[in-house]
Amino acid sequence: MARLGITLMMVCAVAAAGLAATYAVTWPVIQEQQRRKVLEENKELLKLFPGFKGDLTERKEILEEARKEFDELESVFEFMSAGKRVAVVIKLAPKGYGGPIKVAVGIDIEGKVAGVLVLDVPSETAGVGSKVAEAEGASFREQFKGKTAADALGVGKDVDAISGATISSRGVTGGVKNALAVYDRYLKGG
Amino acid sequence: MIQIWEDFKSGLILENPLLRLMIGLCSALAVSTRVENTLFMGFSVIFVLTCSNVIISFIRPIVPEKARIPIFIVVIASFVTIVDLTLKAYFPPIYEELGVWIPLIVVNCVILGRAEAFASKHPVLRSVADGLGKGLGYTFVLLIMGMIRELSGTGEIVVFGASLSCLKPYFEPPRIMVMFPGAFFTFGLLMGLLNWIQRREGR
Repeated sequence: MARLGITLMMVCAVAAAGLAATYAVTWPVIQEQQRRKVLEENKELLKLFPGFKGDLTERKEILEEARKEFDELESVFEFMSAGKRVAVVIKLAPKGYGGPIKVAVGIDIEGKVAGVLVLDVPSETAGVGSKVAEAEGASFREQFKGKTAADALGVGKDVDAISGATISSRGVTGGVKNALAVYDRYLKGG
Repeated sequence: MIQIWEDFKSGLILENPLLRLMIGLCSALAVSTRVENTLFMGFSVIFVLTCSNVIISFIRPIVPEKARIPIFIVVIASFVTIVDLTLKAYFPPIYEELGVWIPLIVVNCVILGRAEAFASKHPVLRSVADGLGKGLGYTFVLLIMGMIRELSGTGEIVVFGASLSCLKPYFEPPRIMVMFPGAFFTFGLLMGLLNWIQRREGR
């Protein structure tokens, strides 16, 4: 009986040592692969912070938590440089005219909007509502720069809508407002 | 020497794990959709099978009869984890394609079967020969199945980004060949073919 236990223990110890060695060699490589994959899959977010060199990390636990309050929330990313957070990007899908509009809001470390990307407008009217995503909407998207959670962020108040695309503009504006609220409540400071 | 050669050779056709012993089938049916997958799956199985055969044959004098199955599983699972981590680190696209089938090599009957039926009763060199032979036999059949299914199901064979052969201009590839039923068609036909050849030789 004792022999049985000792043999099993010896085999397991040798196996564990072998696995530990393999793990030590492969783990850094696997981490590197995953890091590159996140960067590759979210390449378009880098447009918000041109010249940024560093890592993107997805914060799934914050997403889970904040989604209970903001159901249009899609993902939360942190831009990391030298182990510190330098900015966050919040992706959401606020309702536009025909359906959800995919928006990414970049927020800098002071809680100010650094830029807004409209990634996709699958159900907006082409040539009208879709302008929020196009070159024509550039000045509309520029308006959000520097806004914080303290701003009103309402079309007609401190945001000018694209003419003819009021509802889509309102959708994007609401998205930015919610992104700032998420930042304020779940990300600020931490 | 002759004995070792016999041990090696038997795995290729006469005791081919897939076509003759009919073990390890489910992973074979699942991964044979693309030639590239079958190559990686084949090498993984050869590696795990040969290494576990060596270790099990080597420790066979000290393994108590009652604890042999857990010990075999620990040995096999360790090698599978090594393969799993290595593929994940250095070949991530392949790792994603093969997915769960790599960890599932642990419970692949070919490997536990050879440990129990051969390696635990024979010396190290013969176990190496047995592992390599059975592993190559497995890979060989997998490769043929992969070639047939990829070529007929997608119209071309692509390995490491290079297109080896393309039939796309000549026919509309039936998608069913790269889906599950295609695996059964291909496997059944291969087995029928081997039976037919052996019967003709026997006569």
